[in-house]
Amino acid sequence: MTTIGIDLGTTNSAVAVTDANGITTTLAERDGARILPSCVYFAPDGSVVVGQRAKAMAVLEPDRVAMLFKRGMGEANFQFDGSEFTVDGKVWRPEELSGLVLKKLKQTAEDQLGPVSGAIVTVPAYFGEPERSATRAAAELAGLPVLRILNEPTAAAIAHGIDSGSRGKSILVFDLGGGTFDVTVMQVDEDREMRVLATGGNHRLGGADFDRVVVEMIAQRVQEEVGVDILAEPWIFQEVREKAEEIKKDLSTLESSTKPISTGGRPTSFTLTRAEFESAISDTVDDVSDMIEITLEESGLTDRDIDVVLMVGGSSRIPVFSDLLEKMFGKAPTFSRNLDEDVARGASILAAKLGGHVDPRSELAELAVPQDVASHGLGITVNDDDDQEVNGIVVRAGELVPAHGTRTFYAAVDGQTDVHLRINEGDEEDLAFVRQIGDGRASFGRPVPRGYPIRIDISYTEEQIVEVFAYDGQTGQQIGAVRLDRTGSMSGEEKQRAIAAIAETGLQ
Amino acid sequence: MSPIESDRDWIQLTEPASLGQSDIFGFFGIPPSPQEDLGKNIKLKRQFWTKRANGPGGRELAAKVKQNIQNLSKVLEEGAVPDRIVPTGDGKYEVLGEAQTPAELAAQLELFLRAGDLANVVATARFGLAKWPGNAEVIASIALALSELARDYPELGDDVRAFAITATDEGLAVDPANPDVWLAKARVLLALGQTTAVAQLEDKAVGSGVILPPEYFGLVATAFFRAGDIPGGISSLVRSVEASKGDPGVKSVATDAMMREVLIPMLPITSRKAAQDFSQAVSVAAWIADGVPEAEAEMLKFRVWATQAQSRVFIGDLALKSFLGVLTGFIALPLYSKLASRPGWRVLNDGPTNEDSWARWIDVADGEFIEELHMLSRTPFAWQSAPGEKWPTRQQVIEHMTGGV
Repeated sequence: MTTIGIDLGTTNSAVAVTDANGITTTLAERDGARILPSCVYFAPDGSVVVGQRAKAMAVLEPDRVAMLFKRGMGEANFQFDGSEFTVDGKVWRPEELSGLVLKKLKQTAEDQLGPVSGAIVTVPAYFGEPERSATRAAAELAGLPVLRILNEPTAAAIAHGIDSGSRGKSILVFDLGGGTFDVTVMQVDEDREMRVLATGGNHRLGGADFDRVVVEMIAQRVQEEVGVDILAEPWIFQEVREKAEEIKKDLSTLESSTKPISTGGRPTSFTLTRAEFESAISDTVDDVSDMIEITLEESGLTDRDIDVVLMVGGSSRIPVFSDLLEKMFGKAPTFSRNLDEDVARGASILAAKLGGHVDPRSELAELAVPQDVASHGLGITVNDDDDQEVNGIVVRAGELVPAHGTRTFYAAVDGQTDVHLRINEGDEEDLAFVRQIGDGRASFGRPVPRGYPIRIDISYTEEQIVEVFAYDGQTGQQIGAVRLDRTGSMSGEEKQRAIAAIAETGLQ
Repeated sequence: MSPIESDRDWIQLTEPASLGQSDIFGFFGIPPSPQEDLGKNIKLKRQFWTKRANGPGGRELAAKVKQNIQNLSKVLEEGAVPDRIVPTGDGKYEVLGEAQTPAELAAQLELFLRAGDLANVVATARFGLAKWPGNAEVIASIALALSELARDYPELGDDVRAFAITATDEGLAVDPANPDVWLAKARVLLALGQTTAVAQLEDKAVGSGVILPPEYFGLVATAFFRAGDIPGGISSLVRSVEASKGDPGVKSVATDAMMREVLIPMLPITSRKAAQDFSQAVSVAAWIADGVPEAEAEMLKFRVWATQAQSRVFIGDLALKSFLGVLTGFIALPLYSKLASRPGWRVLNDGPTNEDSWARWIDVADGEFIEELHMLSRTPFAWQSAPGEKWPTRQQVIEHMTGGV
């Protein structure tokens, strides 16, 4: 049986396998491409196409092509305008769409390797619990057993061989992909143990946003010169979006790029210089710079402590970011050997290790399983001294996973018989800045007086599932439990229907 | 304390209490922090809210606060805004009430000027003069604003021009011993094109026993230059430097004026007299620039050319020169050398026009500064088809002389 590693990306995905000797291969699709665009096309005849052909169809039938759905994991609405994605009256949730991409990748692997017994699927390090649960649910919909959900920067670091040649070193991984941005500070100790110190980012920032900036610049120019509003014309918009992406890529190596733009039969052209592009994204660059500084501070290290800056993700090719990192750390960053494949390759290396079929003489056998940290804190809603509702933090962000926290709270009123457990994700007491990710009830079984203790234990398991237990503070008896082994934004019934539907869906 | 753990009240503020100056500063923690911490505080606050904007909850509010931080820090970078002026975005402002102090009036005038709002500039100036009649600070602000208007909008109405004169006359009547009022008057006269009146005003001021500021002489110099009186302008620049007691800022401005108004228009040099005049003017400018490194650096190229322009370049036959030297026991050598040489300015003017002139032209033209200096001039050489046309390089000259490489 075989294990695989999957990079389920916002714009592109990839699948890789590592054999018992530690040799890693990125698996190619039938067309030879090792990168699968994360796009799904729903043809009017009911067939479903995933990948490059689906992306190409976005120009002709934009309303039938789903893209960038990873940004909406755990939510129903992921499109730029905040709407749901609906085709022929059916709403497709991000988990289902991701399930289709995973199914396609699984097929690719099984065509070449035979049955797959398990996979490690990567997620942005800064993903919260709902997004991770949704990713797990997507794999379940695709019939793919998940060995572990792994953070993308950690996977990239493994693929880059950070563990083998980096004993005692501190590494900053800068991962700017198609739709998400992560910055992770990690250390490799003398025993090759890879430990994440801090992680930060923005899972709504990536190459797609830079494309959008260029699209808006083109739209303004076309409006001025030709009088056509391309943002209101889906057909033209998709074509312009492709041109914008080409221009952005050109500007990683060229000082300027010119593309012909066809608008309602009136040809025109658009030229953008690198300086203009960098000026247009300067606010984003400032945000990125801020997030690096914040994460570094949270890690307890300074810029002088960082030995290696590793660039990961396709958008890290944009020169302004490597310039920024060189300026911040005083050394040229190291680019991941293959920006588009290393996350999947790193995941496959760990999958082989966890799958247990590794030659004990190979270097892979010595690979230490990396330890991630909780990217967000966990707590429950309680009343403070002023009787205002706040988030009572139990597990703090930055704790090594598996993480566990215990805290005692007290009954708010005389005669209280039960407790509403509202579980929050976030590192702040102010409820305005946390997200409620689940709820449940705990019951004392009798009225208790005001001030009666209740102990709350919250665990963040190695599988990154949140478990909450409530105990009677005096007797120690468990009085309530909540396990957030959820299915993204879907109910259990919806999930069963989706599993059946995706299993029946033939993919092209 | 880390910005992301901060419990400082001002970092938590989502918007200022008002868009007045003091509340915007308060939004960035000033006070309690001193004003020099503004940049640091803006960064702390931005990072705190960036973290929140990327957090699991409250992203929309955090994004809005981040936008506030960006807008308001920009407002403060552009200059302090009085309490009764509210930025409304896109560089525009709304005035909520009349100025309460002369400083506020000055700020309002500046903002209206920046926005190109002529009607409000004039209305605010009239209001200021009515509210603080004869106040030197107010007169100075009004004069500055109206002279800027007159410079940028030649079509300005006669009533506004008359008001500018009236306002400054009123200032002189109320506070004739105040040099700032004289400065304001000179500024207005200059802006209205009354250059002769500016020079005459100085006599009146000196007659009143007023010690005029250096800036005043700068205005007088400008008036002279505009009237074509170059010596008068140079004299006024020298007086401005003297009055400032060698202030580097005044020296820098005066050096710039010397270059722009005197030295560059003298290029290219076309006569022996012009070369002498250029050399003298350069000497004065070098004296003005003395002690100010940037100004001295700017002057260097002028000084180099002032020397080289008058140096003689041998254009005769070297073989003949040697032969004559030997033949006459070197007695005729100085005479031949003088007869067969030309001053540098003439060699440069002759240009690379024939086989004989190429080599000696490049020896004069190939200095580090000579081309750069003449590029500033709008008058082309006869051998140039247009001003600013690049000169041949030494390599091109060599290739030409050797028939190409």
